[in-house]
Amino acid sequence: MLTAFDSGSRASGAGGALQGSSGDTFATLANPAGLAYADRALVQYAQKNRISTASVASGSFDDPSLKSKDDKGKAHYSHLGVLFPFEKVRRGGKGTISFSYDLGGYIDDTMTASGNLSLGTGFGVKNFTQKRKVIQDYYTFSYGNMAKGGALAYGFGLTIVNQKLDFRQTGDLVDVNGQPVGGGQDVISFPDVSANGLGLGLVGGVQYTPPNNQNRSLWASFRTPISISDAGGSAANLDVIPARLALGAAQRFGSFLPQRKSDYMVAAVQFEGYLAGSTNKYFDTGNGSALGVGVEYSLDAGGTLIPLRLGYRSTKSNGQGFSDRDGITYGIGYTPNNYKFSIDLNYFKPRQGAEDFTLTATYRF
Amino acid sequence: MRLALTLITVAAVTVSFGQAWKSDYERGLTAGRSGDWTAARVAFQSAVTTRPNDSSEPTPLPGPITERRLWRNGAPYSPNFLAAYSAYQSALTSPDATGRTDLLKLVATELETLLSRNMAGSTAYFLLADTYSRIGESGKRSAIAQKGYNRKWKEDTEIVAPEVMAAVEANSNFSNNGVGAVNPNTAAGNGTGTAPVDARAFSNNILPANVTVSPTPILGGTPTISNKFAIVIGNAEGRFPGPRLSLPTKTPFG
Repeated sequence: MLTAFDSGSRASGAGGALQGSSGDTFATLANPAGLAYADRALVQYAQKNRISTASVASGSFDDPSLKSKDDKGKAHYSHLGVLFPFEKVRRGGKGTISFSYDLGGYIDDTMTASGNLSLGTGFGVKNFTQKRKVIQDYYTFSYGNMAKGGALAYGFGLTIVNQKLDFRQTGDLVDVNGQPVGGGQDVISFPDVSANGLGLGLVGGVQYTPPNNQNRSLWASFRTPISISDAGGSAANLDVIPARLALGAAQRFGSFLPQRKSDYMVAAVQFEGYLAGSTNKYFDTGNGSALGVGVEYSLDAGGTLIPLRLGYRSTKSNGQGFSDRDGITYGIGYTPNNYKFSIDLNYFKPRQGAEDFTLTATYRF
Repeated sequence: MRLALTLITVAAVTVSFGQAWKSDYERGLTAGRSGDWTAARVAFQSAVTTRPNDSSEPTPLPGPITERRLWRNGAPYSPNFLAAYSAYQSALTSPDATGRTDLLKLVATELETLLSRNMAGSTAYFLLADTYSRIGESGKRSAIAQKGYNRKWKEDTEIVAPEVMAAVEANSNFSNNGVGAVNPNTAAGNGTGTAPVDARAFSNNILPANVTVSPTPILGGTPTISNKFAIVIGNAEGRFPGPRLSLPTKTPFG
């Protein structure tokens, strides 16, 4: 949830596999090359539920056994973006500029202990609680353009991350009999950190459409690691957001039904690698990966497009304290034939834990 | 470094060649609309150099893969056909009879190629039959009538004169209605496959020429049907030399 967080793109209903091929404001951060294909100014808004986790620890304080339960949480805004093709601003202008806000990482985890946690030195921790909450807001400004003719699109951008981090532990040091021990701070200290830091990163990408097969798209995007200025310090230092590399491919097919010739379907796959993030006991975001596969079937109902999406997404844990998150995704969209307004609703149903749902609204000028 | 430069060059050339046909084709259409058939033919032939084959299907354009954007709203890509058509139009306006015949022979050759590659639809087929009539190749005309054309094939007819399209339509109806003794063993007019069409379906000579044909009128009166009405909206101006559509100044409803 900290690294492979999707802020609510329409791709999220197709396993996230179409994320790097989008041509809307989600491309601003995911792959700015997609901006090159924007032919109209548009504004987009998305909201998504923010899952919170309640964990119960037992056993060792340093390496506890955890039983976690997710709560789906309420929906909050997760994306706001606007883009302008230069051609609409100035005659003969090339390329598209875009600005977006994305919720790019989020965790809210509360841990309690069932009984005392052993410290392994003849001591234990009683009444233990731990609160981890991180919100990473990305503000990104990007530009995308096409190479001659449009077979190759490229884009790049600058992203500023505002990271709010809260980390607090409480507990009482006790001896093997469960009796309070004086001078506990000499044995263990419980961090109480609240930090608000900034970081700067670059993002860039390409999309390629083979001239002899314009129903195929290949893409790659890269975001640099982002160092956060005030990241909490001490044991809970979340000072580097990992680099992100995404590689994807998609193929568009015509309708398989002769009576529905204007329908079409897109099948896609995208791999994401997350590299060289912070590695510490409480925020292990070192290396990780995610894989998405999915399809989007666009049903043409007399000019009104109804995209139906289905996919599978597998996100591997970056490290200690984080679990894999795999599951199916599905979604539906609605774009009336004036093509000005569209709405998308997407779900992610993991094998374990709470589901995600996103609502995205798009208005084209 | 050298490898990178090579790759960039190859990519740039590929992209450049990949898209040049669009501007050439558009230039051909513009020239055709203004009646500059020589320039139109040159432009369509230039398009062929970077995208050689006509296509009946819409051409997808680069864009987000989830949005299907089609070149010219899904129009077919027909540079070979339109290059031949441009030559056909040039021939009709040529004052030199010998030059006209030579040009029409060239048109016939080019349209025959399309026909042999199964890339000729009703318009190309009609033009070929008409061209044969004009150069006195009645034998070839009969031969292609037996062979027929690809009824699924669509051509870009944006710059084809309305009079020609009317003639194609009339002849198509003529053959589809069975008036022209379509081969009963094939499903001419059912929209599938390749079907031979009787040569008489293409006996209309819609243009003034010194070739004798047996005219089947495509303009003028039609039988009165008491329970059918029509509103005709037409343009008396045509880009085609010769007879023009004359509209009545009073409606029958008066």
